[in-house]
Amino acid sequence: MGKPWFRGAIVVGFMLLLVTSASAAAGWSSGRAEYGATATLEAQIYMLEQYNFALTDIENGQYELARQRLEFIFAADPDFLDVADKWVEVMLVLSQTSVPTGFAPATPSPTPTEDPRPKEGLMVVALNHLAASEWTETIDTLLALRKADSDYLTAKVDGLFYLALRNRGVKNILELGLFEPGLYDFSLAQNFGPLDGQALNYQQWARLYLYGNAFWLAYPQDAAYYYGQLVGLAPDLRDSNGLSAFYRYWQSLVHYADQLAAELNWCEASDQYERAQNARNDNGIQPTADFARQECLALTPQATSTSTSTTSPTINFTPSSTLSATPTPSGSSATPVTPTTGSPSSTPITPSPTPVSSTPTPTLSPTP
Amino acid sequence: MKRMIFRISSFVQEHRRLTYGMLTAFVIASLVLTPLTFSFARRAGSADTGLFGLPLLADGQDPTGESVNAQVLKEAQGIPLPDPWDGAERVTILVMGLDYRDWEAAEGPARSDTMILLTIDPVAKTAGILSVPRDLWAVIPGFTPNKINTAYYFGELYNVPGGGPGLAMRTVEQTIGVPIDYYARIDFSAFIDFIDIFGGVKIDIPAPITVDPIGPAQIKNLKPGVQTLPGIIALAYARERHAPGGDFARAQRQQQIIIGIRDRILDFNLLPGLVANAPQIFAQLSSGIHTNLPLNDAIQLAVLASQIKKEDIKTGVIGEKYIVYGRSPDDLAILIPIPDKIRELRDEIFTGDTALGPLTEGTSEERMIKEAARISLQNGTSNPDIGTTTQNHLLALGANILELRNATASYSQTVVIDHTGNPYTLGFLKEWMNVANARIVHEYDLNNPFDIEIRIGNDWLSSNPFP
Repeated sequence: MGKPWFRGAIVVGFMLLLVTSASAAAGWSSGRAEYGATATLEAQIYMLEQYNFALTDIENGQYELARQRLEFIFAADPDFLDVADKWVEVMLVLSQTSVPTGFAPATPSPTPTEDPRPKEGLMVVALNHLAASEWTETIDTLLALRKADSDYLTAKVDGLFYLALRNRGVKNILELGLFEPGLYDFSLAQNFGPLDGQALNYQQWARLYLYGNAFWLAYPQDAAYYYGQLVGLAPDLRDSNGLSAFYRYWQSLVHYADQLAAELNWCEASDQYERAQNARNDNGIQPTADFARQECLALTPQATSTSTSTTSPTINFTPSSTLSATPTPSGSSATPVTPTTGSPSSTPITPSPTPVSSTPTPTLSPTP
Repeated sequence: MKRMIFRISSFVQEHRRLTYGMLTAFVIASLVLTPLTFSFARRAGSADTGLFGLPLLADGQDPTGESVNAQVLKEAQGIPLPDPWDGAERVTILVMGLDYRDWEAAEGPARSDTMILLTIDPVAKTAGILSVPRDLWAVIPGFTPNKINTAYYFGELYNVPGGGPGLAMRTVEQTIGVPIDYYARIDFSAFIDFIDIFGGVKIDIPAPITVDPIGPAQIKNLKPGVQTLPGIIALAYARERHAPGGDFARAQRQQQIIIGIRDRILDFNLLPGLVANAPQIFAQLSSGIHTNLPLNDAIQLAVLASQIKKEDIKTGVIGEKYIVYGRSPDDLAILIPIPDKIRELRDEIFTGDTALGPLTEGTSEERMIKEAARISLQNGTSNPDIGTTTQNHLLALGANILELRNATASYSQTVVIDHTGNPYTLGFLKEWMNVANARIVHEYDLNNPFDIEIRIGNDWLSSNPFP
């Protein structure tokens, strides 16, 4: 067994190891507890901060921004203060001017961990998700299945991918207003097989909406052109900000009229205001519309109805051949105009942050 | 037990002095080591578990502002943050660089100067790089449209959930359509240090270019040809926007550097060393890299990226072909997106070979046979024989026809109804029976006894291939 001091040293060393291990374990445990306490506190502080921001947003009429904050808090802690009530309040306001989105508060579900079950089990799970119309979960489970065995029932798995992608695309477009993600899902689904006529219609609607968005605010007459086509097909289609195609169309008409009025093109502006009012009567813009009409009448002998005001980019939209022709809105110009040329600006800009407000953009005040 | 106690007491009695000495040493060592180990372990336990103790930021951080510790939030409240990468799904990262002029001005949050989507598909072993121009006119969730580079700024300024990176990710996601899993904001210092770690990056400069590295009066003229650029020059090369081609050429230079970094690592077989020293490298770079990508996943992705052949890396810049020049309402130069064109580019990079793509091999007919969809064939024509003839042909081709009957109504055109998701049978029938997409109907019904119904229309009487 060796010399006595050697044996003693081994025993002491062993005891030291035990003691230090115990103290390390105690230290770690204490540290994690402290971390947990800090984490909870920081999370509460952060959510409280977001909550207060949301209240400020509501006061300022920035309901869309408030919605994002409240949904964030709700996803983390549905019982946080009166976040659910505030969300409902915000959604009610949004629904009056625009539209609710597909979001509905739900108890956050825990993140699924990797499924240890064999591939047959994963297939059952995928089918259950499919039956429950849980498209993303279906896709995730199928990916896990493929990771487990990429040769397992390939045709069946491919078919389920196709179905889930197609249906998630529809959900993204119709319920969530996530048009480009929805179109991406459709693109992925089309790698497997042809899309049906209904999905292609949704694809067309989303494309039109995105074309409108491309011009939104910058070139309202073009935005109105694309939104106007969509209004004939799906006026209630809403984007993730909760704004319907019809609302966008009407706003584009008003923006265009404002733009013309700002350029003192009163007659054209008056026509546009009239079209906007025909689409949706709004007392807020009536005084401006009346003023534009008066100015136009005063100028009648000299007035020309040609808009010289804006140049806008040209984009050739290729409608799907399977769809019927869409009506051109009466209130917008479909004429392509000369694109602005030149290289993109390298000048630093001073951004003017403008959160989306649920209230319509104010029109020009009549000049006395 | 008794025997052991007896042996210990015998040892103590026999070696009293030695025992006391050992005990004294034990007590002293315990007194020193115990608080030390406790303190060390406590610190380790209370530290964040992000990039080796560095906070994983959500992040509401600007050069002077406060940060929000996303990992802390996640653990405490279950706030959704990206899940660890499962190694099976395509992963996409939004890489951002901030505008140096904003940093210099230090007047609040910065805008993003560079936005690049990096995507890797672990199954197909393909990758993609897509550069998004800073002036692209985009709908920013919760805000009025603006240049896409202001999403980061608004996110920071208005402290939206997820901060600047969160809003930038959501904006790019909605603009491009692809889900973005992670973000990485790389500051200039980290970029320079990273490139210097492996001795610079080899770049083939196509034309003379003047670059202006950070710092006073350091303008350099780079000649064409292959050369190895140190970090500071590589950064200047990537940032230069006054050279011909403007922002689009700049985006291409940035992609050139990304590919150059990859080549450098592979050419010199640096990856094992980088992986082995990942903690130290992260410690060195951490102050300049802000990401929600866990270190383990970053290493996995780096290893995966090294296995992807250069020809399988697709690159794209949303350049002049995909936009039209325009002016914003406040008269700034903007790039109006052409959504359909951008979508084509997106699909080229993201939806070709992908983990989310078909794996069934074979011709259209072979895949239809493998799918084995249960088919109900219904004759909706005035010709009673066409059903049987069609059935026989389809059976001969390998289709799984389970039923032939008359349709409940007359059909002028053939309609194919899919109940359970049968892309290969649909694709085959579309081709073989010349069915337009508009006449493919989706009626989701998992309990239907048939997967597919074919309702033969009168058009088939004249268009069928039968003799």
